[in-house]
Amino acid sequence: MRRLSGEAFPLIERNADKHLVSVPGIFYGGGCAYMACSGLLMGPMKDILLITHGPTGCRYYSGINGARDRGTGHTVPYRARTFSTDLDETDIVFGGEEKLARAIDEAVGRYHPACIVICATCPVGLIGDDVERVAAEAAERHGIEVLPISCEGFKDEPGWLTGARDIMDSWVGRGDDVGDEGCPAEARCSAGAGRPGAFPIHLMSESYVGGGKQAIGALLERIGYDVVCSLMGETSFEELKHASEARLIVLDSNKEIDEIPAELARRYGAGFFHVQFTGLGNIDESLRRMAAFFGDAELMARTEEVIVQEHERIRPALEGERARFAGLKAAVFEDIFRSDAFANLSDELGIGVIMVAQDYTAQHLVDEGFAVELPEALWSGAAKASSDANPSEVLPDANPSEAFPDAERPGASQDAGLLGDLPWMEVAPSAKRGDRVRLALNRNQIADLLSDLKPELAFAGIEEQFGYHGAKIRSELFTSDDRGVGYFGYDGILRYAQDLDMASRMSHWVTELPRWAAAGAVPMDETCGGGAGA
Amino acid sequence: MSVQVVNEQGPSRALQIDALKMCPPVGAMYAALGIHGCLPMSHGASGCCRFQRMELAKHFQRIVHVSSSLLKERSAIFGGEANLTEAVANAFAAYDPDIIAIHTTCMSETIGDDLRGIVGNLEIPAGRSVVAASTPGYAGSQLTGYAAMVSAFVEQLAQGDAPAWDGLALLPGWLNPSDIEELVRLAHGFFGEVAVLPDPRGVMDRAPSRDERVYLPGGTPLADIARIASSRALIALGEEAAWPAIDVLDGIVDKRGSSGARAAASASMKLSLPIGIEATDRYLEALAATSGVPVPAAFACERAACVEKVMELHPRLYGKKVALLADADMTLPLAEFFAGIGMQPVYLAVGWADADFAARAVDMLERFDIEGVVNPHADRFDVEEYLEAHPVDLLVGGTRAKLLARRFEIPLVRVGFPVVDRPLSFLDPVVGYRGALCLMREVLRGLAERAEEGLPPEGLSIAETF
Repeated sequence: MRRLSGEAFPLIERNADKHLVSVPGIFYGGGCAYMACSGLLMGPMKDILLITHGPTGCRYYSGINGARDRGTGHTVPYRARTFSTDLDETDIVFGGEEKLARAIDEAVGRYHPACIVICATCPVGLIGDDVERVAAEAAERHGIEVLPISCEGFKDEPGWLTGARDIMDSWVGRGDDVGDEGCPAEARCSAGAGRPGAFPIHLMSESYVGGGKQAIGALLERIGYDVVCSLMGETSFEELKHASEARLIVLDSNKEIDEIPAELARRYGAGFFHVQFTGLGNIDESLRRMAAFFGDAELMARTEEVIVQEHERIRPALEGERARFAGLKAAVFEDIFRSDAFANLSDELGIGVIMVAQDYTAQHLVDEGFAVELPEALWSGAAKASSDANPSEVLPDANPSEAFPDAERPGASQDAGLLGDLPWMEVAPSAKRGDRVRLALNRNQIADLLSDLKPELAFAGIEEQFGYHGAKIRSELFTSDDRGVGYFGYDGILRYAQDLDMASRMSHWVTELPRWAAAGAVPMDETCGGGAGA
Repeated sequence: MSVQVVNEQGPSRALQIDALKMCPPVGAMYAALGIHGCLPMSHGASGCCRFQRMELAKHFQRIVHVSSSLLKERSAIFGGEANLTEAVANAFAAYDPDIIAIHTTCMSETIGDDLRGIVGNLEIPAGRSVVAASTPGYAGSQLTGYAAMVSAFVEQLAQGDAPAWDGLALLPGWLNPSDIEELVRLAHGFFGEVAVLPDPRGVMDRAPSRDERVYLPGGTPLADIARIASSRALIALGEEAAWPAIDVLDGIVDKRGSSGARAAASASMKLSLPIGIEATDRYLEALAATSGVPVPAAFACERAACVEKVMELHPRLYGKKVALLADADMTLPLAEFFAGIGMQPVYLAVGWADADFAARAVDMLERFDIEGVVNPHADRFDVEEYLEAHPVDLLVGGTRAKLLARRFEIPLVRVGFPVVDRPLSFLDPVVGYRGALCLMREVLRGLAERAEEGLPPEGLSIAETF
């Protein structure tokens, strides 16, 4: 295989425009504006009392505390409860404002919260309830914070963005605003003198809850950072009032929420950039960039020290895992949450990663316009097998210039002569190790490629999109975007390896059939249907 | 001695604290998933579909695929027809279902979409069907939506002129697949053929195919829906989930006249869910009456075995107070069973119930001389307030009741939907004599574990009797 000249691009590139494709009728993994606001953004807030203004269902379904919240400790008596105005048919006809006002009064009378957040649901916006007015009057009446958020489920804007903007405008910068009763025991302002510390940061991340908070928080504290607050993670009304004190905002999220940290940074003169606390290389790079931002020699030294300590700490275990998994192949469809993490961690374990991404500029479902990136070593074998078999099958239908906008591919060029018949292929030397090949393929070509390469591990989307059933490591953990666990922090790669190990030990149940079935006596797949064993 | 009814006209607070009721669309979704080759479609914003299918997914520990018209702001202004039309076309093209079952949501109802009109204008591929039900999220409970979808299937797909057949059509209400299995097993003692609508067996207890165009072999076959009005007998189980559809069916029969094997509505029977011994007795009685076949000896033996266990074990149950948090259809038969084996069902909490629920509950409790409280518009906080003043020995309800169980340090027997924190719970039936035994076992286990809590090893007894 010939190598082309050109600048390096990252080994596994983030698709900055990644979002769930929302097409009517087509299975959609996303939630809605209300869900994102009430669950993702407000869910982990420790001290607010959240009232859902809407019919019973929205709060019922969103009112669960999942693994995200396990062990975080409920410090206020209303933390594990769900509150709703339970709008019924009469309310829909005659309006729900009066009921909302009464609901707020009842909540205040019973629980005396310092802050109430009201999340609106679909019908509220449609029947025209003036939630802002009800909230303002209630705040006046009770002398507490009442924040109404117009996060009706059908809103085009993501709910976390709507809610975060309201928080930014209403709460942030009120750090000195201590009420007559002082701060609740949990509140940050009771943490005492000396805060914010020398390096106050705002860690914006939905991973900063439960185990993620323990792992990432401890790491950052060891280096010397003071995590002032953590929007979308475990945080509070009291903490967010101090968000203005953060000198640096770091965002570790797949959500398109840049607008919030960028605006916070502008208003309060802080720095802002993305970090990623999943994957060893990502964590190292993120920590170094944070230290460099503050430019403090001691901080930078401590960062290096911690990085070395952490790598040393996990080295023995990691070497064992690498020995076990190196040489495997994995296919990752870059359309789901966590696909970046799966790709990074697989790569760091020495697994060859085949990334498949849809061209997100196409807003309709098509069979064209997929981008595939894989190690050159894998491609060489596959291309040979394919061209031996039937070269015409891998001929491109997609226009490479559409699939790869030039701006994103500095220096990338095309080589008409490569492997004789593949003019759309791009090859560039990798920034890290090995070389990776990028291709624009259609759906059938990807299916062919996968059946040639036979990846042992296929993450969610691969099987569904391309009908590839050959993965030998099978687990719902990796094949459903509704499940999965966090792999943040330095130990994340070990947890990931453990999950791979777990999956590989269970896989024989679905990849192998008993002798009586293999003998052909019973056509199991036809009589049983379903996913397992098929 | 009196039974107290609270919240008869509606909740006592404007602020709902810890909801007990879900919304109708989740019921419509569950009902539709019990039809073979059927793809449910939520006509609303994206969150409804996601929320509700996840509730089902967690209960059954499987992925649940549901399509949605994914309404956005544009639809709030221009209506949802364009999205729904596109969604139906895309879903037929992408997933090739036999049937798409559309249910509405708060949004599509509030913006005033004319569902019938829109569905009438749809282009439906040859040999495929679309069924539509109106299920606004703000009117009723999950059972309301379940009933609306079953009724829609009957109304829109049952054929008035299907040839008569000599079997049983069973409308089973909201139950787990294992319950349906038990109901059908019993019914086969009387009828050669049994059509069940809907039938989640082989669907909800299995993982969906990885190929989204391939449907699981389970579920009610379309042919069974088509002929459901022409069966010899028809039994509906569950006041809120199943009875409404029987009225629709009787209408079809009435229209057709009495030419079918089933003389107009004469052999259609409405029963409560057959949970507990007495309710199962009534189910068998109905099967015998509609089939003309006497109750098989084997079932009489099952009953005898169940009664033997009750007679053996009732001293451990006597006077134990239980608070029930379940849906309207399950609550009364559960309470009846517990009362019948000597327990005291003292608080019946239902998130939302029909107007006549309270009266039926009062009658039943009075029959057993139980001084209890009936709350047909309850939230969990109502139960909590009651329990603070009136301790009970046991809670029976779904997963979320465990917060109360922990708060009051009493055991919880997990029953109903959703049970999401004890995987595979859906495998145990609650109906039939078998279900009664399973329930009794769980109650005894809960009470025993509570009694042993905190004891040192030396304090534990190996057997109650020696």
